[in-house]
Amino acid sequence: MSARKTRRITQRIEQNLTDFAAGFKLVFRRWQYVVTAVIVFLVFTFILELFSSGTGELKLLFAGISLGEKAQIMANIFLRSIGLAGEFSLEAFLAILISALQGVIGGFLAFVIHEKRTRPKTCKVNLAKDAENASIGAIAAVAGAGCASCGTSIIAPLFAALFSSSGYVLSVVFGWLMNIVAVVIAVLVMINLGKESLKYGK
Amino acid sequence: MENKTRTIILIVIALLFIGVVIFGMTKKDSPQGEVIAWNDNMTMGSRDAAHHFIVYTDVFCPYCDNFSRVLEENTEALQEEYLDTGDVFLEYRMTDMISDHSENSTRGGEAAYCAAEQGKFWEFYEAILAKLWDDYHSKGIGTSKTSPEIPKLDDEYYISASDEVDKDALKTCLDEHQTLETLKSNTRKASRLVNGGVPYFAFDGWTGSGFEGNWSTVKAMFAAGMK
Repeated sequence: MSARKTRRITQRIEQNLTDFAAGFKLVFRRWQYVVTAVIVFLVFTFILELFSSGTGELKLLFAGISLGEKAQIMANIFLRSIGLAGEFSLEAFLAILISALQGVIGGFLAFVIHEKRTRPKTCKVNLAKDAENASIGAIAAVAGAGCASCGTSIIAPLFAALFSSSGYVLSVVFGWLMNIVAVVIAVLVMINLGKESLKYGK
Repeated sequence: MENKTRTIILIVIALLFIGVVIFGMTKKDSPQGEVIAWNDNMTMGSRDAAHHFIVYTDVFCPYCDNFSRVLEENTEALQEEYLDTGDVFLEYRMTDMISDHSENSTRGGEAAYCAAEQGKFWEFYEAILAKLWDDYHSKGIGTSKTSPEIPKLDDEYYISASDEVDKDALKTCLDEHQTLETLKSNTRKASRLVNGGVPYFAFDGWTGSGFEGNWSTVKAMFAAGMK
């Protein structure tokens, strides 16, 4: 790659990050969007924790047990998801990172939806595209959660059915791939939404 | 037009994902077969109990360790509320299902079957899990797919785990691989019955995999199985 091309790419990345940072400041100085981001973050960590701990807890929520028992299971999952129970691991860090990215995306989306409604003709923002990309990232994150051979991955039964016992090894690789896809998509959507939010601040 | 295509693709991805989740949750579990225990020395409670609960496990599986430690910490409640009442007959089915990820899995499984041959499975299992917890799991080693792996352990690690096991007999059993075939054949059988890795619970009408909960989760699992 030529030096000129490299410089152009670097400049573009710098510009995007500067715009994102300005958009971030614009949106998250308002408490409503901070609250939205926190709620999305908590919901997302809960979902990731639920899906990454195998099918056991998920199936218990649909089993014929009492509401009290189900509430207790949900409380346990919630405590683990916010780090008050369980142990720290790279998976836990990834789950928190992906949830934080989704939280910021949630805050941006709430801001853009609000501004689009109140100032529909100010500027053109392709919200549907961002929302779709954010959803794909979220699905990838959930699909990649858990440890297949330990019986704590939602995709393990499918891989085991398709590839027998070697499916567990494959689903570990697939899980990692999905985690990377989830982070990359979330970062790209977040930067894009940050830039688009800035349009409403001008 | 482009937006429409994107929406269709997104819907297809979402439907595929929902399909995978539903498949995982509702996939008809293989019948657990005969309700006789694979190894009488790996059971708890009365054979005449109303419910036969099976736990597929592996000595080196961290989530199996979580489950077993919760049971151990609540032995009294387990005994009084489920075993003595004749409600539950609990069976462990030892496998080396995580041998692709842990080089110790097979040797640990062999040692567990060796101890079972002496009628000392529970003593050995409790001791080896406590030792693994102190030496590795409590330090974040061997606890997940990304944590550092437990190094290759020598036979002495298993032999010295419990004073209640006949150490000489255990050494001979391990040296001669007396239980390797049983372990491998049970793992083959288990891989046909398990749906989603270990620990896998086949509690009568309720099945599930993975465990990160506490005693209240175990009680809920038992309640679901007894329905």
